[in-house]
Amino acid sequence: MTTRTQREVNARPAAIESAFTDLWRERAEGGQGGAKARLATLVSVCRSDAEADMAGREVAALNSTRPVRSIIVSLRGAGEPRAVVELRCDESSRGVCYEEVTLKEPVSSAGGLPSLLGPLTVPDLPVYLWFPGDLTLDEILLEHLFAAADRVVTDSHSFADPLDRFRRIHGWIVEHRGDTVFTEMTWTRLGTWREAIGKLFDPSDSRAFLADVKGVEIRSSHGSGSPSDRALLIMGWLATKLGWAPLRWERGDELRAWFASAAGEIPVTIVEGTAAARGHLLGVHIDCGDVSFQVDRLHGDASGAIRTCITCSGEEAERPAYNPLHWSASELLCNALEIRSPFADWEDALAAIAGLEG
Amino acid sequence: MSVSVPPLDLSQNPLRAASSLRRRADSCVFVAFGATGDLMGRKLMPALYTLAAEGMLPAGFALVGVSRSDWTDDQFRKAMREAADKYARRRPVDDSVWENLAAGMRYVSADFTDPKSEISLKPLLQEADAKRHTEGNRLFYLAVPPKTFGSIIQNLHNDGLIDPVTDDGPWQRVVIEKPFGHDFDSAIQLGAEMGRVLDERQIYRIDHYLGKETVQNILVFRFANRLFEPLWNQRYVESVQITIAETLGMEGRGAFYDETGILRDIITNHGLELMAMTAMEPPISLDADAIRDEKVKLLRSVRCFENDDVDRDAVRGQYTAGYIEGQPVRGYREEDGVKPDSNADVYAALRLSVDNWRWAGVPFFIRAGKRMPKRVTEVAIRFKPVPRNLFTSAPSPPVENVLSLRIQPNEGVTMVMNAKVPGAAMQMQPVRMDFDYSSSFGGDPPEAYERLLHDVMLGDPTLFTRHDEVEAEWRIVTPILQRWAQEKSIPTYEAGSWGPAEAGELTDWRRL
Repeated sequence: MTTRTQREVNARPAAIESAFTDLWRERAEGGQGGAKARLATLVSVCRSDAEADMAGREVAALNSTRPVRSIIVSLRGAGEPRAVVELRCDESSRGVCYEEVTLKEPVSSAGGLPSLLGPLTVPDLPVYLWFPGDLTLDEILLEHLFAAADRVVTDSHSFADPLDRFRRIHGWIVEHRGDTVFTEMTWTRLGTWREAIGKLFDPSDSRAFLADVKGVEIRSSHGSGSPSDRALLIMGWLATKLGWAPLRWERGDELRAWFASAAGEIPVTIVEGTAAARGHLLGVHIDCGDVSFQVDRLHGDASGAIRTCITCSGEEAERPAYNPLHWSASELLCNALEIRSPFADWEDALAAIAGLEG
Repeated sequence: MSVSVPPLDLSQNPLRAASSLRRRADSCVFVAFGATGDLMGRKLMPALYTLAAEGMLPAGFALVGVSRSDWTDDQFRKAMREAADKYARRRPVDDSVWENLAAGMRYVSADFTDPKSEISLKPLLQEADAKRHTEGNRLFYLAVPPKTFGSIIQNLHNDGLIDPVTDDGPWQRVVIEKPFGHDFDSAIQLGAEMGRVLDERQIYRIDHYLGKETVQNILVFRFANRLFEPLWNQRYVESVQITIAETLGMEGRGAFYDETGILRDIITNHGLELMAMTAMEPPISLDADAIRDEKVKLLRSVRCFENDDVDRDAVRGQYTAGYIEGQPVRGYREEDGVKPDSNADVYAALRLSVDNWRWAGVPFFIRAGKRMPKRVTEVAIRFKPVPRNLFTSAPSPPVENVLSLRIQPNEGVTMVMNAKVPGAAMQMQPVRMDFDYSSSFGGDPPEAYERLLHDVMLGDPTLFTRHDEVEAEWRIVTPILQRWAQEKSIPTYEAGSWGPAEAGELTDWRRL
């Protein structure tokens, strides 16, 4: 069982810290213990109350395994800045409490918000910046926030225009290299797809076909008229892993991109398909002439199972099927907290996407 | 504009190179000998299911159970499902995960220790390769008594199921459970028997203690924190105490213990492994052999016992009737399966000396016992007192600092230090600083078997015991076993106490 005690105070660091001190003291005076365990400061930057509520739920789940000081910034509206300071305690035998501040309508000027967040972070521990939604905030504000963070976690699943956002993130990665690490939740979600595709080429006779790829078709469902984030990331990943140089792209009913390989130009097509849930990858077909390597989401399979097969001269040979893991946002956050190094493959994939001229 | 692109290097799969954040095991068939036994039901199947549920099992996977019991495939699947339902860390069992796993399960009723057995596993394993895409990789898990290891491995070899090790061909790995022999000579013999058919790289000797998160944390604690390592030597450390205490008695293992004893069952592997992890030099890397080389070096530097040393530095005991957690319990000799005149040790305590520069003169005490007052496993480093006590007017001198690595339960690290009692007088009191794993890292940590089975499938032997490590451990304890075998009497202790009075003469044991 989790108990919650809270105070609403001015959105100023001294008032917030003082409220925390009061909450801890009241708990001690009430004869209740509780360990203050913190592995990091997690700042969730939200564009709406709904997003802030969602972030709050995921951070609560995260805290059951990785306690953090949570700061949720809700940037919606232009009301009076205020802060809700809350102590949440797991009253089971574990007895761990964590601190959460929700900053409502804080000063959102470029310098103002970071100056409010800075004193609230836990000294010596890393600061994580999480954007549960789209990256539509003011560029200068974002730059200030990135500069104050050790790690930025984005979720491309929420991007309205993934191609544009990936190009921007690539720019930030280049600009902040060495200071701030960027990571992406969907990259982890795509782990099983990357593995299933990669595994098809483990045998050396299959691998030889990678030097002779004629084209790639990626089917996905995005539903917004933009190519899906997952399809773009798989495209970028294949291109960098196979040493293809980005050339150009054009957008019609489908997105077509061209890459240069040692064997010539390779077209990659991202086709919009239909799926029960928005955002899913539906299939990746790598055409190598007579032989085609296929990875497809099984239609109607609630678990989202992936089948793999190799078609040679029209004859199909089934390969192992995969059950993708279903990650919750809190599990993905936990993953981001655990892995300190950059997601190098993801960064490379973004570079390939950003390198396409359109 | 033309772009020049160099040709692709296909000597390795470019789509697999450094691409995965999580290590995924190779496709394989898991062949479990002793598939109807307790270990399979309590540990192996629950671990395999949890690995499947967490996406850690390879996509191509099959499980073949082998045992003498006359079961069908369906009976085997049913028993395995019950085991997963009851013991898996991830519960309730997810039906879709289970169905996928169960579809690859088969059972073979056979006495595979019989050299005349005409039952071959080969067709079944080839079928798994074809239907479950297991690619010729086989993991043979011998959850059977050690005396049958040799004959099973020979039969597998005769059946053409074990090939020489190659760099890129299918692999075969054999997992065996402790004890690895019953003394130095038998360990050498077992190693030779297995070595006739298997390469050392194919043998995975499981000591499940090494799969525990907190045991692995000893490495992180020591070698990722600059703070402690400079103090980790004879200049600052007074002694090291390793305790492996259980409240349980025999729980149906009386006959086994009567033959084995706790020195063989617990101290030879768990106790000495904990000591090696605590005292070894920093390895040059985290490679399996780099770590195991350092452990072997440490174990080889433990001074050998002569007869007189055994009498002075080793104590054994048996519990008599007493109370555990308020409940009366029987004495060891009244336990089921135990001979009334049993000479077996169910408590053992040793004082060991390490003859190297780092630890010269620092005694290492290891104790393990059944029917102790509480279940606890920990390594405690007791530091030397301050060179001069400034606080002579205080009622008591400062206590020695103790750093304790708690392996189980309540995993964590504690440190005892001195602090001033608030007030006008200069009074000191020892206080305890506590780092509790479950506070900082909630959730259930992986079971040791999950980690270890996954490592076998990955081909990572870091957490498994190498043959020379086994030999080095037996070299330490065999003289003690030989001396104790000559003695007719054995000290006793009341169940629920911390061991025989004689153990108190070894050292001032920590109050736990």
